Amino acid sequence: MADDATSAPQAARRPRRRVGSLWLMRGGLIVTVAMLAIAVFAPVLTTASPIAQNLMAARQPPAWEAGGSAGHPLGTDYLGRDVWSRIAYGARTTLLTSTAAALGAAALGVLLGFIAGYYEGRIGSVIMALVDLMLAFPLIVLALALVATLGPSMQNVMLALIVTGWMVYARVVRAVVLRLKEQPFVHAARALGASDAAIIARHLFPNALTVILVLLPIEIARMIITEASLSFLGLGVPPPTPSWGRMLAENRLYLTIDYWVAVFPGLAITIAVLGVTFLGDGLRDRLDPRLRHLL
Amino acid sequence: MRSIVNLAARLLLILATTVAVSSALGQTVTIAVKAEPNTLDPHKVVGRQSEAFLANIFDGLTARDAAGTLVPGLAESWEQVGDTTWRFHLRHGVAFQNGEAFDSESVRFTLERAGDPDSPATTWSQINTITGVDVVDAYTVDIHTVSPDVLLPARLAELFGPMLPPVYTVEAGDDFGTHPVGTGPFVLKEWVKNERLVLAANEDYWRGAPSVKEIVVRPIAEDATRVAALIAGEVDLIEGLPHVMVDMIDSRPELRVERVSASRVFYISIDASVKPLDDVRVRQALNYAIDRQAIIDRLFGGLGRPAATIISAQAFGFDPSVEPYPYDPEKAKALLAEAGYPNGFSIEFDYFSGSVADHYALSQAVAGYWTQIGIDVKENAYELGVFQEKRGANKAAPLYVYSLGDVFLEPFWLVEWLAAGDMSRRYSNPEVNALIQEIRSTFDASRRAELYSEVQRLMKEDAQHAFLFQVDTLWGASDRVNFTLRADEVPWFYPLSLAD
Repeated sequence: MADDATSAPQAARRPRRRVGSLWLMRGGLIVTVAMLAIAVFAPVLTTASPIAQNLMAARQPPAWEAGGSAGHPLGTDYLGRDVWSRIAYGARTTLLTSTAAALGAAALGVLLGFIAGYYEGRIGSVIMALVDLMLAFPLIVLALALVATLGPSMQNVMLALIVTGWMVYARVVRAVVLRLKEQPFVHAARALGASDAAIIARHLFPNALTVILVLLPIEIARMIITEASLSFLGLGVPPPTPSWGRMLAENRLYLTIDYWVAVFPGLAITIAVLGVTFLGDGLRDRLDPRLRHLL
Repeated sequence: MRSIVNLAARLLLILATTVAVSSALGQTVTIAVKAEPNTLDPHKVVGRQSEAFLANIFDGLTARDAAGTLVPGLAESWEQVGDTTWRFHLRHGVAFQNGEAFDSESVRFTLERAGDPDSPATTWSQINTITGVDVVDAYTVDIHTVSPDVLLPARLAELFGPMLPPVYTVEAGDDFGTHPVGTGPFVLKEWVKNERLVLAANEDYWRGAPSVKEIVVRPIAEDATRVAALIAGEVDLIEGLPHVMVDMIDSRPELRVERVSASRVFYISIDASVKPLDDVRVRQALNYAIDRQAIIDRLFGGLGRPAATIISAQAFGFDPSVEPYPYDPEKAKALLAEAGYPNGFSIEFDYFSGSVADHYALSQAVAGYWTQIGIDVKENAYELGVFQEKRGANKAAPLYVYSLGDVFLEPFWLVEWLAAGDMSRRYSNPEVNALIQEIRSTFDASRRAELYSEVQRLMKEDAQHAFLFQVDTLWGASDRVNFTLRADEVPWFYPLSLAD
């Protein structure tokens, strides 16, 4: 600390922050990869079915506690379902819905962002007005209303996540396009007779890709939380498909008696969100530190 | 420095108020309930929770004792004076909490208000056999019914027969629901919606003044929060103790569990008009597939009993010789194979969370048992409100969970309810209908019991429901208070007293 204060504080601080963020990013990467692996290899990593009930084996504690068994490493819930298996298969639900929804939202948002940025005029204003309108809603309430109306299913949950998640892409991409399209290389391309589509595809999209890549993990983290919230409120992927949010909701009565049924799915959500967020932050610092102010 | 002094002064002040509050608590009993009544106007209440609460402020013509037996209330006695006429002899010298006298005129006014064709009471369907009220003298009334109604005295008990003061009720108009006046053991003192409802003892109560002078009723919807409030000593009594928390309460010396067998029967409705449920063997297979006792043991701490039909063990006419379906998955599979579905079939099953009684976990368990005999169960887990809308529109899935409590302990109305035809109530068996019609007007109790036995046999055999079980109602209590529960699930605070 004394060094910082006396000699070249600015120079000393910057690399240090980068090192920290690098470690966080590595950690985030490891967690993300591990989670992907658990989701993909869930059938290999678990011995019990995530939905099979056995009331006779209900409410067993984790393996390391008295009364626990190796067959149920993280214990069982009130219906005798294996908690570890439900978390592992729940990772599939969570990752699938949140990643697919984030990609879907990105596709929609990027498309609208390009249109709004490239063709400023009336279309642009309409799209940006729509963005402002959407952002004025409490998004979780909007998502709840959508799923409640359409009926709870994995597709509808994704749809709700997409409908409430595209605005940030549209806004950021529009800003990038507005900046880029007045650049000399775009003018040059246009002078050489390139069509709008070609300009967008060849010149603008590659330049906007960084922003999109940086946004994606941050948005995925947000979607994990939204998906878990929807599930917690009973409007997520319907049972018996395991999902972390629903595990929390179903077991909250048992939280004070059988801690393992709620603590482990809660931890799963926390670790997943932190991991993906750290990865996203690291990517941002690496790819485009200027975005720190934007995101 | 000054801020520290300031802080210390504030802390002292908070401490002083806390002490003051807890000493006031000395004479007050605080009770946490699942939900507060929607109103205290007996003709505008919605839901059993609200209806049952009224007994603390109002009296009916009849009442129930702790065991659930029908006993005199504001009427001292009653008799039949014709096929369709009941005569009630009213208690003398009873006054409403505002001083108005209770007499025949109050009965006529109350029942006419309930049956007002322009705005009938929300509870009117429970007493709509009434066609007219004749005042014979100041303390005698004749009540006429559309057809012989063996149930009328029970209908006019605390839930659906609370008596209102004519003059005040008209004066109060719409304010009656928040400023009620009855003849009951407690007077409403204060009602801060969603926060607390304060009841004060009615010192002139005709049964004698209640022992506890002030009761604070707090609505706490979340089960775990209610239990936490009891453990923290914030409340003395909680309604609806979850069965899984019994051990937690028992392990604390200053707390105890009060339990009573409740008449509510949980069941799955099975739509016998759709394939493959139109085959009685398939419906019976669904029944044999469920291990009722295991669900009671694991989800309700063993505090319950399997049910064979909607007729609960404490109801009139209950026939123990009609036994619940035993757990026999092999037989279930054999029946499915016989019916032509050796590999099961796919079917939708609606259930819900958020109800006063927990239907969610038991429905999951039932779905699990059906899965085990090879049925592909498509589970729809709804929030109660959404499900009720679907059910109300007659659109519930072929299989859905529900439960019914027998407030009259005279169960023919339950069977009528199940067979109503609308609102996804699909029970259909002409033989049973005929029996129910006969029961309605059979005043000979032993004959009625015979008819009920036949109803139970038929209902079990035709398997248009999978009747599951009755479970005990549990309350958590602090040793500060003496309290016993009533068998009909009415939260009746009159016998409450402080332990010394």
